[in-house]
Amino acid sequence: MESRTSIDPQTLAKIHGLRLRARHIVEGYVAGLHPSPYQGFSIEFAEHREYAPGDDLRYLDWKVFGRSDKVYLKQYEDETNLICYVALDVSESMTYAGPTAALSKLEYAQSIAAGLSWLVLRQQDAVGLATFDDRVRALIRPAGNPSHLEQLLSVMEAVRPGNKTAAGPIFHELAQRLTKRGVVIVLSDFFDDLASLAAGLTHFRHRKHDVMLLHVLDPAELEFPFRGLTDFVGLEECPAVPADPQIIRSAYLRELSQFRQALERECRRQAIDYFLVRTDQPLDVALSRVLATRQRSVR
Amino acid sequence: MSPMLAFWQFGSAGMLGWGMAAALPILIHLWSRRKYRQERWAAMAFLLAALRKNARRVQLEQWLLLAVRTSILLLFVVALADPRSTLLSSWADQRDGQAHVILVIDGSYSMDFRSGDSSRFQIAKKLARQLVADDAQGGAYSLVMMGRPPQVIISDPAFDRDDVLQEIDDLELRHSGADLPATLAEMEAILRRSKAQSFGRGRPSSWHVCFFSDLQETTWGDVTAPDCRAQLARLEPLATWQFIDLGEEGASNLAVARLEIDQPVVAAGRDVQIQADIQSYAGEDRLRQTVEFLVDGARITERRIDCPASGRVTVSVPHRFDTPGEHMVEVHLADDALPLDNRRWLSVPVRTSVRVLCIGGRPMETQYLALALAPQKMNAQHIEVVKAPESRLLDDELIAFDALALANIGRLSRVEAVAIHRFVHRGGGLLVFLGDQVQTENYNQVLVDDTTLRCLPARLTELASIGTYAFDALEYRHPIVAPFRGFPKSGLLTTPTWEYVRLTPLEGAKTALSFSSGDPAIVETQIGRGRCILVATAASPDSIVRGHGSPTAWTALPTWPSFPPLVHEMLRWSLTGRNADRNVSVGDDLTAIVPESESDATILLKGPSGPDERLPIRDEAGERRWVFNRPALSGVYEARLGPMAQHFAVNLDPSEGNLARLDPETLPSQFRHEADSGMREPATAASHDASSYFRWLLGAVFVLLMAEPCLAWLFGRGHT
Repeated sequence: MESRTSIDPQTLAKIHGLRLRARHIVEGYVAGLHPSPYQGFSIEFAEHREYAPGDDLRYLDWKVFGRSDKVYLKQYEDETNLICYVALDVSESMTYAGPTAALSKLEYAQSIAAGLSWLVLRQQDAVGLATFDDRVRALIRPAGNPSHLEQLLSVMEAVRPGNKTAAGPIFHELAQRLTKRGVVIVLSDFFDDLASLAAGLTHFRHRKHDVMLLHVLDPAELEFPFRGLTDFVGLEECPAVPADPQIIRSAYLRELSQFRQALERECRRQAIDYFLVRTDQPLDVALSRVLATRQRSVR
Repeated sequence: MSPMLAFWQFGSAGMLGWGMAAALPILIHLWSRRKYRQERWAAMAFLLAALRKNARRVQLEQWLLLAVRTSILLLFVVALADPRSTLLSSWADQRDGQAHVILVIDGSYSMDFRSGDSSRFQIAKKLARQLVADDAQGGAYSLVMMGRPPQVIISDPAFDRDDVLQEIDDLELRHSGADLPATLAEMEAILRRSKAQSFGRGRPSSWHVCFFSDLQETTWGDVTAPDCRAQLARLEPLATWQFIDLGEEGASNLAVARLEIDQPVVAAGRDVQIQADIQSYAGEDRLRQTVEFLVDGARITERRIDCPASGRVTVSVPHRFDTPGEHMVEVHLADDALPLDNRRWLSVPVRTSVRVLCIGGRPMETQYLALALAPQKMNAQHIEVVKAPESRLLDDELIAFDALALANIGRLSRVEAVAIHRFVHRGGGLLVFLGDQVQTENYNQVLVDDTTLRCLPARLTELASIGTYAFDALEYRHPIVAPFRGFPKSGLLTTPTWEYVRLTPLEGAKTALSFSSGDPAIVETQIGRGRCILVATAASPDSIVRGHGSPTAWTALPTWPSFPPLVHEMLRWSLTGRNADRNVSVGDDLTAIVPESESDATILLKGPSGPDERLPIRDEAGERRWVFNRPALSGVYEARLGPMAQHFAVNLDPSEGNLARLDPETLPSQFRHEADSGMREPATAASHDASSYFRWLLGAVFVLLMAEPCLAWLFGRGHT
């Protein structure tokens, strides 16, 4: 379990560069888990086929080769790799980092996305990436080669947060553009209109995607720990609001809780996996929950 | 001054300046609004929704907290300012310029009634004091204590508040009733003088009268009398009126109403009956009440009585004074709410014997009389009879006798008449029997017509026509013959009389016994402190009817069996005033004659309270006498002249113990006009003192101090 603590946000914040962070996450995660989480993405055996030059020797069926001197490869049900789409919210609200947070929501979400991508690619599945705020900022088609990771990481690192979140319309657009069925993992704070959001998710489901929402929130947003009169300067072009946090705290928490509950309800209704991810949590916790859920759904 | 401020007065008004501190929470609130720190925030939608939905509640809570914090400071400052309510606040509006307030405090002893720790009188003083102390406008004050007679403490308006307060503090309750008409007369005099003259700081411009009384019917019953109504009508336009009612309905009381001994003059070694009347002024029966009898401070017995509602019970105990001298009898009731009337005293100067001087016009004239007074066969001679000739009347030694009996004295000189008059006036008993030697003109001239020397109760006219007359007891109404009631064989009604002098009773005289002809036989009256009894016929058979056949005695009375008891009853009755000086009521003068043999110029009088008082001995009408004017307190007084001491009992009027109240509706209009604002329950009025407000305010501050963090927690951190 020591490995898990080594990938807590505090530690991660000291590591510069998304690639190094991703490596740290994956190594720490792999070292801490038995059996391998790769199986979560593995596919059921279907049949054998003859070896052709260039095939991955790992899939050679040595038992058949020993019995018949013929080189066969294990043929799985889906011959192609699973496709994982990572949708990363890069709106301005994701740049928020509370007083006690080591990482902003965006940094945390980037780390999760990078780690997931790495893990997916390591098992030779395909992973794609979309960054969005009120529009799609970047879209990288899914690919399974290891060099693809570099591209993903460089795109994530190049993100310049800016506008408001408009996840609902974006989900519609992505649903249209991600034609191949796969697993859509959305990392966002979902500070958006719930109805629009629900409509976008419905579109994903309509396209037969498996959808996982990682609701990334800062501890300050969940606990509202402020004291003293405060002028809350809104991100995403919201006006400044003066308030006494101690007086408004309960009402705020009630509003947030209602929103989360509504979002969870909607997810349950559409058979979407919902995870609340706090940015002060160790990252492997978030990864474990995602992968374990995926494993359950595959079986 | 606004009416609101007029209602409140402050002991330390300067402290109110610190009330500005109450603005601190508001200023801090405003200042802190300018000191917002900035915080970047992402979840604005939820924050805005929370603010939008809770804006009104949040604002209300903020105001409430602000109000609590401000109130804490404000109440604390007001508490420090020592607030007091002005009991007579309505006057503040009426006053315009200098006011002259006449404080009239009921000093009758019913004001000693206690329903708690304080008596009504103490509450009245406290309220009057508060009124003066809280008067921020610096009015002028007069002070009158209702009493019998009323006591004007401050007549002209006094502007010095400290002096007035000192006089109020020095007021002492009188053990008497109160004379309302006399009090109103004093007030009228004060008001008219105040309106007519200028005093010190100028003439007052408004006048107010404030009564502090329990509205006891005994005192205020006169208010409905025409004379009193007229007085009040004259007074009404002179001032505004206020009545502070300190009484309460249903108050009950027991009082010792009477204490006497059945013998007017007590001789040592003779059994007497001590009688006490216990009067109930309660609306319910009082059972098993303890009555204690004490003689010379030592308890002799105790009785338990059941006293019916509004009834009177007489308790009688036998006693024998073994030694002659000064004795004091005292009766105690267990203490109740009005303790003053639960005690009564009786001064009893006990003699070795009752001394009677018998003087006859002839040597044997007093023989039967002396024998009747002191029969020789009696073992204990409690009556000492001295027979003497007429010349003894000139002797100043009359003072050594309790009674003087004259029998068939022919004529009396003016000097003798003076001596007799002085003797009776001092309290001696005088028995006068007529006879065949009496010169009626002379008697009328020196003992009747000269009003300064009048001793006789009736004018002597002529001799009745000769006949046989019997006595008529006149239904035994008079105390002299009352003992004969029920004893028809005592011989009183069968006593034959053949001659007598017809009497014409003077005003105030009473006929105790008459002849069957209708003419008075025995007439008596009070002369000064003494009493004279005149018998129309002779005290011996030596007075003879002449001119008609054989000589016949005037009467068979001296030889008749009814004679001894009749003489004794006459002697007893004639001595009823003998100790009158020793037992007086509050308000009566204490006085006594000093024997010529004493050469001291002063006597030392020791009262029930306070220091001994030296009183001068003065010559009055040829006798040396000291006088202590109108003792105000009941109790035992001792007058000491050298080694000789005389005890005096001063008792209060038990009728004042009747606590029945006058219906406030029967009060005249000027009182009822102010009744709404002025009449308060004593407990309520008493509670309006400065300290209670101070404590209440500090209590409120404490409560708010406790409430503030709770509210802050509830409105802030408490909402989780």
